[in-house]
Amino acid sequence: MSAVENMSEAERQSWITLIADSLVLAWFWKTMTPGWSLIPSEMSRAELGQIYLSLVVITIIYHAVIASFFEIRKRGSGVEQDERDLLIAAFGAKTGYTVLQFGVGLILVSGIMGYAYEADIVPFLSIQTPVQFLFAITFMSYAADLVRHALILTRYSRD
Amino acid sequence: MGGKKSNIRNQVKRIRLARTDLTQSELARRVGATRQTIISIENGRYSPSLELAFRLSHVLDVSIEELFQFDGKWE
Repeated sequence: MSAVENMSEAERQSWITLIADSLVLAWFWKTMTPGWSLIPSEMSRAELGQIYLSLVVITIIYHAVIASFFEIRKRGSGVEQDERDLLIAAFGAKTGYTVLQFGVGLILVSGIMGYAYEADIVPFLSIQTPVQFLFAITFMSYAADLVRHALILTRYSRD
Repeated sequence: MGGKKSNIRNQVKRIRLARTDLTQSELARRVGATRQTIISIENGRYSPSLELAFRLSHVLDVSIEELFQFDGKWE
């Protein structure tokens, strides 16, 4: 049997979500920054609104498509998720949440320090404009989700 | 879980093959787990919950003590 055939449905769903999230984050990153830096280009409100509207629509659509696909596959099949899947998912969610908390904390501290001292405290991160703040929060949110899925997949391969 | 070798040994694979003609898929279906979980249990990578352990012992028709043994130190 191939590796894909040996995966549980939950593991397959995690793989597909990881790939889709990575592609969307890559698109968002490329659109917001000049050459993959962590400091976004300055843009008008209309440009920013258009990018975020696209991001929201894309995210809703691909999550709905993935969820529907796996929901259809569930029908008539055997057990699609059990206690081991739930334990692995809980581990991924907990760690992903910790990463998100750390990232949000870093962004807040950078923003406060940047506002107080008018300088970037963290060298690669600038939180001095609304565009920079929104980019950092959105980027961190996607990155935490990628970490969550990557850890889930690592657990599946080990356990 | 966590990639560590469990302190609980089990005889699921041996008993399944020796005393039944159940496949991993069939055993999984009957105990309400996925085939991947049965594979992990048989390989000693995953220790099931007490409920799943009881389900396995019921389906394989053996006592839970025969199916699972504690292999660690009593400290």
